[in-house]
Amino acid sequence: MEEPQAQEPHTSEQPQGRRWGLYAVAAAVIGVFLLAVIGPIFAASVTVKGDPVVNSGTDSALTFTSTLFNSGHINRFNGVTFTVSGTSITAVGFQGSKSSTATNDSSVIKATLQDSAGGTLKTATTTLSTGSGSFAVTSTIASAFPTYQRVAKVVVGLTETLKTTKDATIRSAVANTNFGAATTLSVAATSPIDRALLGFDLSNVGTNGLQSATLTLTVAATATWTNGHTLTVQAFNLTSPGSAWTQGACTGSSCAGSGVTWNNAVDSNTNNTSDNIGKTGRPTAVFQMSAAPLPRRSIRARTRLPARRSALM
Amino acid sequence: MTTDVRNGAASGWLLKKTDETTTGTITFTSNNGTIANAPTLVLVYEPG
Repeated sequence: MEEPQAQEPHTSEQPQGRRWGLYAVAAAVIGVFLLAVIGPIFAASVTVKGDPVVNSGTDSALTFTSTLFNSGHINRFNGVTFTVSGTSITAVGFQGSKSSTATNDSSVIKATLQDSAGGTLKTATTTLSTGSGSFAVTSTIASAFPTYQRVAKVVVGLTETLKTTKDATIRSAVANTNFGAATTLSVAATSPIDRALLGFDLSNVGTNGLQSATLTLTVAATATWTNGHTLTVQAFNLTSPGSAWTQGACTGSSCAGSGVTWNNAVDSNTNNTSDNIGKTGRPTAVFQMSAAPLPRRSIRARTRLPARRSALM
Repeated sequence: MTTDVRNGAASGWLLKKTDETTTGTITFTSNNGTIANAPTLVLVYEPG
Protein backbone atom coordinates (compact mmCIF):
# COMPACT_ATOMS: atom_id res chain seq x y z
CA MET A 1 0.00 0.00 0.00
CA GLU A 2 1.34 3.09 -1.08
CA GLU A 3 1.99 5.34 1.67
CA PRO A 4 0.33 8.50 1.40
CA GLN A 5 2.67 11.19 0.44
CA ALA A 6 3.55 13.32 3.19
CA GLN A 7 2.19 16.67 2.58
CA GLU A 8 4.33 19.53 3.21
CA PRO A 9 3.39 21.45 6.18
CA HIS A 10 0.99 24.16 5.25
CA THR A 11 3.05 27.23 5.47
CA SER A 12 0.43 29.51 3.98
CA GLU A 13 2.97 32.36 3.40
CA GLN A 14 3.08 32.14 -0.35
CA PRO A 15 -0.66 31.81 -1.08
CA GLN A 16 -1.47 34.51 1.38
CA GLY A 17 1.19 36.75 -0.18
CA ARG A 18 -0.35 36.13 -3.54
CA ARG A 19 -3.74 37.06 -2.23
CA TRP A 20 -2.41 40.27 -0.80
CA GLY A 21 -0.72 40.97 -4.07
CA LEU A 22 -3.99 40.49 -5.91
CA TYR A 23 -5.73 42.72 -3.43
CA ALA A 24 -3.12 45.41 -3.97
CA VAL A 25 -3.49 45.22 -7.74
CA ALA A 26 -7.27 45.35 -7.45
CA ALA A 27 -7.08 48.28 -5.09
CA ALA A 28 -4.77 50.11 -7.45
CA VAL A 29 -7.11 49.54 -10.38
CA ILE A 30 -10.08 50.70 -8.39
CA GLY A 31 -8.12 53.70 -7.16
CA VAL A 32 -7.19 54.76 -10.66
CA PHE A 33 -10.79 54.31 -11.70
CA LEU A 34 -12.04 56.43 -8.83
CA LEU A 35 -9.43 59.06 -9.46
CA ALA A 36 -10.39 59.31 -13.11
CA VAL A 37 -14.13 59.24 -12.68
CA ILE A 38 -14.93 60.61 -9.28
CA GLY A 39 -11.82 62.60 -8.60
CA PRO A 40 -12.97 65.77 -10.30
CA ILE A 41 -15.96 65.90 -8.01
CA PHE A 42 -13.61 66.44 -5.13
CA ALA A 43 -11.30 68.70 -7.05
CA ALA A 44 -13.41 71.70 -6.06
CA SER A 45 -11.73 73.77 -8.71
CA VAL A 46 -13.53 77.00 -8.05
CA THR A 47 -11.03 79.75 -8.45
CA VAL A 48 -11.21 83.46 -8.60
CA LYS A 49 -9.21 85.53 -10.97
CA GLY A 50 -6.99 87.64 -8.88
CA ASP A 51 -5.19 85.59 -6.30
CA PRO A 52 -7.97 83.76 -4.54
CA VAL A 53 -7.71 82.61 -1.00
CA VAL A 54 -9.64 79.63 0.19
CA ASN A 55 -10.70 80.46 3.68
CA SER A 56 -12.62 77.47 4.80
CA GLY A 57 -14.95 74.77 3.80
CA THR A 58 -15.25 71.22 2.74
CA ASP A 59 -16.15 69.71 -0.56
CA SER A 60 -19.79 70.07 0.26
CA ALA A 61 -19.62 73.63 1.55
CA LEU A 62 -16.83 75.81 0.30
CA THR A 63 -16.18 79.44 0.96
CA PHE A 64 -13.72 81.41 -1.07
CA THR A 65 -12.70 84.91 -0.29
CA SER A 66 -10.60 87.12 -2.48
CA THR A 67 -9.77 90.76 -2.49
CA LEU A 68 -11.04 91.79 -5.83
CA PHE A 69 -9.51 95.16 -6.49
CA ASN A 70 -9.66 98.59 -5.14
CA SER A 71 -11.14 100.66 -7.84
CA GLY A 72 -13.87 102.88 -8.97
CA HIS A 73 -16.10 104.54 -6.50
CA ILE A 74 -15.97 101.45 -4.38
CA ASN A 75 -12.89 102.50 -2.53
CA ARG A 76 -13.04 100.07 0.35
CA PHE A 77 -13.76 96.83 -1.30
CA ASN A 78 -13.11 94.32 1.39
CA GLY A 79 -13.48 91.14 -0.46
CA VAL A 80 -15.53 88.73 -2.45
CA THR A 81 -17.00 85.65 -0.93
CA PHE A 82 -18.22 82.68 -2.85
CA THR A 83 -20.16 80.00 -1.14
CA VAL A 84 -20.51 76.62 -2.66
CA SER A 85 -22.92 74.37 -0.90
CA GLY A 86 -23.93 70.91 -1.82
CA THR A 87 -23.83 70.34 -5.51
CA SER A 88 -24.42 73.87 -6.69
CA ILE A 89 -23.21 77.36 -6.17
CA THR A 90 -26.03 78.94 -4.34
CA ALA A 91 -24.74 82.38 -3.58
CA VAL A 92 -22.10 84.83 -4.56
CA GLY A 93 -21.64 87.55 -2.02
CA PHE A 94 -19.67 90.72 -1.89
CA GLN A 95 -18.71 92.82 1.02
CA GLY A 96 -17.46 96.31 0.82
CA SER A 97 -18.54 99.88 0.67
CA LYS A 98 -19.19 102.44 -1.96
CA SER A 99 -18.24 105.98 -1.28
CA SER A 100 -19.57 107.68 -4.35
CA THR A 101 -21.92 110.49 -3.66
CA ALA A 102 -22.33 111.41 -7.27
CA THR A 103 -25.90 111.26 -8.40
CA ASN A 104 -26.95 109.19 -11.35
CA ASP A 105 -23.80 107.14 -11.31
CA SER A 106 -24.11 103.42 -11.08
CA SER A 107 -21.86 100.57 -10.06
CA VAL A 108 -22.75 97.10 -11.18
CA ILE A 109 -21.07 93.98 -9.95
CA LYS A 110 -21.21 91.08 -12.32
CA ALA A 111 -20.20 87.57 -11.42
CA THR A 112 -19.79 85.00 -14.12
CA LEU A 113 -19.43 81.36 -13.32
CA GLN A 114 -17.56 79.48 -15.96
CA ASP A 115 -17.16 75.81 -16.57
CA SER A 116 -13.86 74.19 -17.29
CA ALA A 117 -14.25 74.92 -20.98
CA GLY A 118 -14.74 78.62 -20.37
CA GLY A 119 -18.45 78.52 -21.04
CA THR A 120 -20.74 80.66 -18.95
CA LEU A 121 -22.84 78.73 -16.52
CA LYS A 122 -24.46 81.61 -14.76
CA THR A 123 -24.23 85.35 -14.61
CA ALA A 124 -25.45 87.38 -11.70
CA THR A 125 -25.42 91.14 -11.42
CA THR A 126 -26.34 93.63 -8.80
CA THR A 127 -26.33 97.37 -8.65
CA LEU A 128 -24.53 98.70 -5.64
CA SER A 129 -25.93 101.50 -3.62
CA THR A 130 -23.96 104.25 -2.04
CA GLY A 131 -22.96 103.52 1.49
CA SER A 132 -21.31 100.88 3.56
CA GLY A 133 -22.29 97.34 4.17
CA SER A 134 -22.61 94.10 2.38
CA PHE A 135 -23.74 93.74 -1.14
CA ALA A 136 -24.98 90.36 -2.16
CA VAL A 137 -25.53 88.74 -5.47
CA THR A 138 -27.52 85.59 -5.29
CA SER A 139 -26.99 83.15 -8.05
CA THR A 140 -28.69 79.84 -7.75
CA ILE A 141 -27.83 77.33 -10.34
CA ALA A 142 -30.77 75.18 -11.23
CA SER A 143 -30.46 71.49 -10.88
CA ALA A 144 -30.22 71.23 -14.61
CA PHE A 145 -26.90 73.01 -14.50
CA PRO A 146 -23.75 71.04 -14.06
CA THR A 147 -22.81 70.55 -10.48
CA TYR A 148 -20.16 72.70 -8.96
CA GLN A 149 -17.32 70.38 -9.67
CA ARG A 150 -17.41 71.56 -13.25
CA VAL A 151 -17.12 75.18 -12.36
CA ALA A 152 -13.58 76.13 -13.18
CA LYS A 153 -13.64 79.80 -12.60
CA VAL A 154 -15.58 82.60 -11.02
CA VAL A 155 -14.88 85.87 -12.70
CA VAL A 156 -16.04 89.00 -11.01
CA GLY A 157 -16.12 92.29 -12.79
CA LEU A 158 -17.26 95.77 -12.05
CA THR A 159 -18.85 98.20 -14.43
CA GLU A 160 -19.11 101.79 -13.39
CA THR A 161 -21.18 104.23 -15.38
CA LEU A 162 -20.41 107.84 -14.66
CA LYS A 163 -22.50 110.73 -15.85
CA THR A 164 -20.82 113.96 -16.71
CA THR A 165 -20.48 116.22 -13.74
CA LYS A 166 -20.26 119.11 -16.15
CA ASP A 167 -20.70 119.62 -19.85
CA ALA A 168 -21.21 122.62 -22.06
CA THR A 169 -21.04 123.87 -25.61
CA ILE A 170 -18.60 126.60 -26.46
CA ARG A 171 -19.45 128.66 -29.51
CA SER A 172 -17.07 130.80 -31.53
CA ALA A 173 -19.78 133.13 -32.80
CA VAL A 174 -20.68 134.18 -29.26
CA ALA A 175 -17.35 133.70 -27.65
CA ASN A 176 -18.29 135.16 -24.29
CA THR A 177 -21.61 133.46 -23.84
CA ASN A 178 -22.21 130.44 -21.67
CA PHE A 179 -24.43 127.48 -22.66
CA GLY A 180 -23.91 125.31 -19.61
CA ALA A 181 -27.61 124.96 -18.88
CA ALA A 182 -28.59 123.89 -22.37
CA THR A 183 -30.18 120.48 -22.75
CA THR A 184 -28.00 119.62 -25.71
CA LEU A 185 -24.35 119.77 -26.65
CA SER A 186 -23.59 121.09 -30.09
CA VAL A 187 -20.75 120.19 -32.42
CA ALA A 188 -20.79 122.23 -35.57
CA ALA A 189 -18.82 123.96 -38.29
CA THR A 190 -18.06 126.00 -40.28
CA SER A 191 -19.52 129.20 -38.98
CA PRO A 192 -20.00 129.23 -36.14
CA ILE A 193 -17.75 126.54 -34.81
CA ASP A 194 -19.31 124.69 -31.91
CA ARG A 195 -17.38 122.39 -29.68
CA ALA A 196 -18.47 120.49 -26.62
CA LEU A 197 -16.68 120.01 -23.33
CA LEU A 198 -17.23 117.00 -21.11
CA GLY A 199 -16.06 116.61 -17.53
CA PHE A 200 -16.29 113.65 -15.18
CA ASP A 201 -15.47 113.19 -11.52
CA LEU A 202 -12.64 110.71 -11.67
CA SER A 203 -11.23 111.55 -8.28
CA ASN A 204 -12.14 108.18 -6.77
CA VAL A 205 -11.74 106.16 -9.89
CA GLY A 206 -9.08 103.52 -9.69
CA THR A 207 -7.09 102.07 -12.49
CA ASN A 208 -6.30 98.65 -11.11
CA GLY A 209 -8.08 96.14 -13.27
CA LEU A 210 -9.41 98.75 -15.67
CA GLN A 211 -10.11 97.02 -18.95
CA SER A 212 -11.82 99.74 -20.89
CA ALA A 213 -13.22 103.24 -20.70
CA THR A 214 -15.85 104.19 -23.21
CA LEU A 215 -17.55 107.49 -23.74
CA THR A 216 -21.18 107.15 -24.74
CA LEU A 217 -23.20 109.95 -26.24
CA THR A 218 -26.80 110.06 -27.33
CA VAL A 219 -27.55 111.86 -30.56
CA ALA A 220 -30.29 114.40 -30.03
CA ALA A 221 -30.56 115.77 -33.55
CA THR A 222 -28.75 115.76 -36.83
CA ALA A 223 -31.05 118.24 -38.52
CA THR A 224 -28.32 120.21 -40.19
CA TRP A 225 -25.93 117.40 -40.84
CA THR A 226 -26.63 117.99 -44.46
CA ASN A 227 -25.79 116.90 -47.93
CA GLY A 228 -25.62 113.26 -47.02
CA HIS A 229 -22.06 113.65 -45.91
CA THR A 230 -20.51 111.21 -43.55
CA LEU A 231 -18.73 113.50 -41.19
CA THR A 232 -16.88 112.59 -38.11
CA VAL A 233 -16.71 113.94 -34.60
CA GLN A 234 -13.64 113.24 -32.55
CA ALA A 235 -12.86 113.47 -28.87
CA PHE A 236 -9.63 114.87 -27.55
CA ASN A 237 -8.24 114.75 -24.08
CA LEU A 238 -8.53 118.20 -22.62
CA THR A 239 -4.98 118.85 -21.55
CA SER A 240 -5.57 122.46 -20.53
CA PRO A 241 -7.18 123.90 -18.49
CA GLY A 242 -7.87 120.40 -17.30
CA SER A 243 -10.70 120.37 -14.85
CA ALA A 244 -10.45 124.09 -14.16
CA TRP A 245 -13.56 125.05 -16.04
CA THR A 246 -17.10 125.37 -14.83
CA GLN A 247 -20.31 124.43 -16.55
CA GLY A 248 -22.24 127.59 -15.85
CA ALA A 249 -25.98 128.02 -15.72
CA CYS A 250 -26.83 129.91 -18.86
CA THR A 251 -28.43 128.96 -22.13
CA GLY A 252 -27.30 131.97 -24.09
CA SER A 253 -26.97 135.68 -23.79
CA SER A 254 -28.42 137.94 -21.12
CA CYS A 255 -27.63 135.58 -18.33
CA ALA A 256 -25.77 136.72 -15.28
CA GLY A 257 -23.34 134.33 -13.78
CA SER A 258 -20.08 132.63 -14.47
CA GLY A 259 -19.10 129.68 -16.54
CA VAL A 260 -17.18 128.38 -19.48
CA THR A 261 -17.23 130.24 -22.77
CA TRP A 262 -15.28 129.99 -26.00
CA ASN A 263 -12.83 132.54 -24.66
CA ASN A 264 -12.65 131.61 -21.00
CA ALA A 265 -12.50 128.51 -18.88
CA VAL A 266 -14.42 130.48 -16.29
CA ASP A 267 -15.95 133.71 -17.49
CA SER A 268 -16.75 135.64 -14.35
CA ASN A 269 -19.54 137.58 -16.00
CA THR A 270 -21.45 135.88 -18.75
CA ASN A 271 -23.84 138.81 -18.98
CA ASN A 272 -21.49 140.92 -21.00
CA THR A 273 -19.66 140.46 -24.22
CA SER A 274 -16.20 140.76 -22.77
CA ASP A 275 -13.92 137.99 -21.78
CA ASN A 276 -11.96 138.00 -18.57
CA ILE A 277 -8.47 138.32 -19.81
CA GLY A 278 -8.80 139.80 -23.21
CA LYS A 279 -8.12 136.67 -25.14
CA THR A 280 -9.60 136.47 -28.54
CA GLY A 281 -9.46 134.07 -31.37
CA ARG A 282 -9.42 130.35 -31.50
CA PRO A 283 -10.26 128.35 -28.42
CA THR A 284 -6.99 126.53 -28.44
CA ALA A 285 -5.68 129.65 -26.73
CA VAL A 286 -7.81 128.61 -23.78
CA PHE A 287 -8.59 124.99 -24.39
CA GLN A 288 -5.73 122.82 -25.38
CA MET A 289 -6.17 119.24 -26.32
CA SER A 290 -4.21 116.14 -27.01
CA ALA A 291 -2.48 116.02 -30.33
CA ALA A 292 -4.21 112.87 -31.41
CA PRO A 293 -7.91 112.14 -31.07
CA LEU A 294 -9.12 109.24 -29.07
CA PRO A 295 -9.54 106.01 -30.96
CA ARG A 296 -12.99 105.38 -32.32
CA ARG A 297 -13.45 102.27 -30.25
CA SER A 298 -13.40 104.47 -27.17
CA ILE A 299 -16.50 106.33 -28.19
CA ARG A 300 -19.97 105.07 -28.78
CA ALA A 301 -22.86 107.06 -30.15
CA ARG A 302 -26.38 106.02 -29.41
CA THR A 303 -28.98 107.30 -31.74
CA ARG A 304 -32.70 107.19 -31.84
CA LEU A 305 -32.61 108.73 -35.28
CA PRO A 306 -32.30 106.97 -38.61
CA ALA A 307 -28.89 105.42 -38.77
CA ARG A 308 -28.00 107.02 -42.07
CA ARG A 309 -28.12 110.40 -40.41
CA SER A 310 -26.01 109.58 -37.43
CA ALA A 311 -22.48 110.73 -37.19
CA LEU A 312 -19.57 108.40 -37.16
CA MET A 313 -17.60 108.73 -33.97
CA MET B 1 -9.67 107.01 -23.57
CA THR B 2 -8.77 103.99 -21.54
CA THR B 3 -5.17 105.13 -21.62
CA ASP B 4 -6.18 108.59 -20.48
CA VAL B 5 -8.00 107.19 -17.47
CA ARG B 6 -5.23 104.72 -16.69
CA ASN B 7 -2.67 107.48 -16.74
CA GLY B 8 -4.78 109.67 -14.53
CA ALA B 9 -4.67 112.28 -17.24
CA ALA B 10 -8.36 112.42 -17.87
CA SER B 11 -9.93 115.53 -16.52
CA GLY B 12 -12.14 116.13 -19.45
CA TRP B 13 -12.61 115.77 -23.14
CA LEU B 14 -13.36 118.10 -26.00
CA LEU B 15 -15.57 117.08 -28.89
CA LYS B 16 -15.07 118.66 -32.25
CA LYS B 17 -15.62 117.90 -35.84
CA THR B 18 -12.69 116.31 -37.54
CA ASP B 19 -12.99 118.77 -40.38
CA GLU B 20 -14.14 122.14 -39.19
CA THR B 21 -14.10 123.54 -42.69
CA THR B 22 -17.22 121.66 -43.70
CA THR B 23 -20.73 122.48 -42.70
CA GLY B 24 -22.97 120.44 -40.50
CA THR B 25 -24.23 120.32 -36.94
CA ILE B 26 -24.94 117.47 -34.64
CA THR B 27 -26.25 117.71 -31.12
CA PHE B 28 -26.02 115.33 -28.23
CA THR B 29 -28.10 115.19 -25.07
CA SER B 30 -26.39 117.01 -22.22
CA ASN B 31 -26.62 116.43 -18.49
CA ASN B 32 -29.42 118.97 -18.44
CA GLY B 33 -31.46 116.91 -20.85
CA THR B 34 -33.07 113.55 -20.29
CA ILE B 35 -30.80 112.08 -17.68
CA ALA B 36 -30.91 108.61 -19.15
CA ASN B 37 -29.41 110.02 -22.32
CA ALA B 38 -26.73 112.16 -20.73
CA PRO B 39 -23.13 111.52 -21.71
CA THR B 40 -21.58 108.69 -19.77
CA LEU B 41 -18.18 107.26 -19.20
CA VAL B 42 -18.41 103.51 -18.81
CA LEU B 43 -15.52 101.94 -16.94
CA VAL B 44 -15.20 98.19 -17.04
CA TYR B 45 -13.00 96.45 -14.49
CA GLU B 46 -11.96 92.88 -14.33
CA PRO B 47 -9.38 91.60 -11.91
CA GLY B 48 -6.32 89.79 -13.06
